[in-house]
Amino acid sequence: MLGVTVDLQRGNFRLTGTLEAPAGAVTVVVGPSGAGKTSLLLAITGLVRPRPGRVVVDEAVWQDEARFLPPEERAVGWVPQSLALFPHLSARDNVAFGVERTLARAERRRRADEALAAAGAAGLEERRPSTLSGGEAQRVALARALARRPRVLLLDEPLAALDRPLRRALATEIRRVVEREGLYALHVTHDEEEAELLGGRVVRVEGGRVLANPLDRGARSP
Amino acid sequence: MTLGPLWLSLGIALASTLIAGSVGVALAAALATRRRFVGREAVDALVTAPLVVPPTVLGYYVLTLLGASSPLGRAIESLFGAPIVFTRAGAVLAATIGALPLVVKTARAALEGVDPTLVDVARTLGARPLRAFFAVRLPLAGRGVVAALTLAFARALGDFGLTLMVAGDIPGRTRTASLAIYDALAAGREAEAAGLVAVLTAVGIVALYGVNRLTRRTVG
Repeated sequence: MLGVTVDLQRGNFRLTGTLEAPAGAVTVVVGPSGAGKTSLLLAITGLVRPRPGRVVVDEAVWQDEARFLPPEERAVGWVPQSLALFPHLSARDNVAFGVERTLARAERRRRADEALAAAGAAGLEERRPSTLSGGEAQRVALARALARRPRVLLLDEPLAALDRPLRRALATEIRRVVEREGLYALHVTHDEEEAELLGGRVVRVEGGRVLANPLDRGARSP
Repeated sequence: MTLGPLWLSLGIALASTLIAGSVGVALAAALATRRRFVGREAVDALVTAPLVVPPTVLGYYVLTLLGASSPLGRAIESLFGAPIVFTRAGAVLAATIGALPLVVKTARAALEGVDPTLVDVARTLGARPLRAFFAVRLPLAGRGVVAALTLAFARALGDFGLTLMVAGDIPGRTRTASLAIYDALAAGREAEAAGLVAVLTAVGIVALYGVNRLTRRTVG
């Protein structure tokens, strides 16, 4: 179980609420822009610190009253809305950046290529981000997040910029990876249709409140 | 024309570029955080002061602080066996103080120009703050940082007032090219002055040209 409780103040904006998500399924976070969806993801990455806040992944406590793990110590794969691929690195080096540093160079490279292939980005290894199309960049960013072998995958409007067929294909792929690896996955979107495509549980965030979480009420996933 | 002052200037400029470069980039990194910390603007103002305070005034402060009769100056002398003022080290210090604000200002702007989300992503990919800085932020600010170092070098090469105050004008020890030009002119050795002027001008232009070429290639 992924459990998150936040009380987060960012400037004039405040986000509060609790969310629980099961492993192996995509939990879709919907709500209008500016509702606090991105802040919720940031609290899980550890890039911002809710006070008070609590982030628990299975038995691992990422944050509670006593501790706060910095982002680099959290097994999290984050795909921000802008993707934020490193422009000075090839697709392969982008992905290898997050691979376990104690491994030998060749092994890290192999894992990077493996992750690229798994995300449908084989053949793009040598390319710089500036030469990638929207869909290609999307796949590389997904590969980079997964190559770290995270427990929690955080996707911030990852499909917003894509056309419909591509969106459908990538949504299916994301779903498949999450199911196969048994990951916790939060997928932020303001698009209800996309939420349906992913077919998961829906959590609504509105006006700084995390609302209706099916798990809270003991409801079954649709 | 004697080449002594030129080599001396070159050595001093390189040394101070190295020092002002590393100290300046570190300071720029500290100042270019999103997190506000107490005294951030005070540090910025202190570092930038040499841009607006007259060299003689700065020199006065350095002499007061590090001179042979000051506590700090005596500590340095007993520690290293030599004073810092009126030595080559003093000349390096003078050029470094002059160059530092240019490094900090230019490098800070370059670092702040890097999309912070890139650094954030690096952190979530397992990078500690230091690695995120050296592997992502610094290379992406590379152009601006190289520009900062060029400015520092040019400034250090041309320093006059601060060097004269802190290091004096000792032939063969602290008489840099800039000082030698003044001395040569004052003594009526116009050919020597013109020679040094020509060389300093050429070095400046060549350095700028080379750096421009280099920085153009790092992009894209």
